Amino acid sequence: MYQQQSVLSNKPGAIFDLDVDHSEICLCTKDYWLTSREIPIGFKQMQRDGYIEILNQWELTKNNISGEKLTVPVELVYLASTANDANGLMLELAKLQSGLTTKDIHLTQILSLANGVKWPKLMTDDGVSVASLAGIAFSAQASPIDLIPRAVRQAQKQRAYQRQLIVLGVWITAALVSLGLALGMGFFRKNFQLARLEDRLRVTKYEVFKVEDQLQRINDIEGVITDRLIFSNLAGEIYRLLPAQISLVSFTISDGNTLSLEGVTSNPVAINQFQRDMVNSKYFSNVSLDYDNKRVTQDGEVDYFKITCILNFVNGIK
Amino acid sequence: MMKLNARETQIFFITLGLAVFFVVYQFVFKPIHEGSLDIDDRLSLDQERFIKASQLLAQKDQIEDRYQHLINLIGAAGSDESQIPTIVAKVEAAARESNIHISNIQPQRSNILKEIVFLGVELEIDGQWLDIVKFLNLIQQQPNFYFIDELNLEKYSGTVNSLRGRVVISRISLVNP
Repeated sequence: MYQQQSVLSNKPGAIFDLDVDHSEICLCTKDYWLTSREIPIGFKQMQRDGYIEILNQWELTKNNISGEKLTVPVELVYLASTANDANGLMLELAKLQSGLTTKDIHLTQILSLANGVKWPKLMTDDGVSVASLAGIAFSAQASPIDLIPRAVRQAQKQRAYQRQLIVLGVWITAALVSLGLALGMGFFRKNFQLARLEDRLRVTKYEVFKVEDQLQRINDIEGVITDRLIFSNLAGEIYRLLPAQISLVSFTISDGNTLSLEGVTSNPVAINQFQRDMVNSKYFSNVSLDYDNKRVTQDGEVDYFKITCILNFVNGIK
Repeated sequence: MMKLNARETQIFFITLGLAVFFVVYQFVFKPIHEGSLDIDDRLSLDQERFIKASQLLAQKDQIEDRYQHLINLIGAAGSDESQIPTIVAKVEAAARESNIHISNIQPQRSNILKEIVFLGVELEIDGQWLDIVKFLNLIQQQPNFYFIDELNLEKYSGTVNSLRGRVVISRISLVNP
């Protein structure tokens, strides 16, 4: 993994794999591995006791290379960790050796994890070595095996599922909006038509009201005129129906349409005839004989009578 | 908050979808649909009103002419009693022409019915039957519309057809022609 780094000199380099309660220091060159030591010092102890012990272990590692004696100083140190706590150690290493380049490999920043995945607990639960992850972090090439933790995969699946739901929701919303527009289009069009029609009605309202009022007045006037009694026509009708034996002595029109006739005759049959003819005439209705009194005069016995009727308002009389 | 598993999440979203559908249907589609039905009624009603108004406005000139013609026939406007002398003059002229004797002329109180004023006079008359018919006929001849509101004639001579009595006549006038 170290070899895969793009810019490497021939001088040896080191990798610190820092964990909570232990660490591993690895020394290697561009061409081959030199040594690796696991030491029981982690962030917990470094925070409690400082960096003296780990720096001692660093010196021991450098001085105890079994194969080849380390004659040239280490030029590059990678500090691989899952937290930001490596900054202190980085400063201490720089103080210890001038010209030493230190690089922080922060796994949680390099590896993109699903939201909510607890680091590094879930990683360790999955049994994935942090050192392997550090290697992946160094690597410029794709990993040959799937090192994505189960929790991350589940979180990714969950996220993909949620994304699908959101997309589905967007489509449903779009469909509902389209349906609403399709259904509402007619409604809005009719509303527009109605508003335009009501505007036109409002404009013509005053004019129409004037014409309607005028028409109403015409009807009222014509109604009154139609109900007018034309006396000459009434007189002509009575003259036509009146038998020669009857002589009228009184002629009364009251309430505009009630006619009362009083007459005298020596022939009672003529009264019946007169009444019957009035009943048959279209100009009279409710014809009734109010009285028929017999009186004895110098000329003999005569009948005084009174007929009352209602005038029908038909053409001819009206 | 308790985390739901996949099956519970599906049920939750299906339930949520049904609830959203119910709310959208109840408060969006249903009111729009009912509003659409209501608007159809209003639209057809307004269209009928507009057609009727257009037809009426198309007859506007004819109606105006008809109205003016009626006003000319009636020949009088106003509700005051200033019209009474005109009526009396016409009555006296008709009486002279038909040999009717008028013993009394009494103006009546005017009546107003639907903006039409009835101005009347009560006459006490006597004369022959045919003359009275002629008299009333002359009064009712155009111009102007005269009404016979009341009439009471009685024969007072045994030998000739002499009648006497009272007649109430009126003519119409318009309040606001």
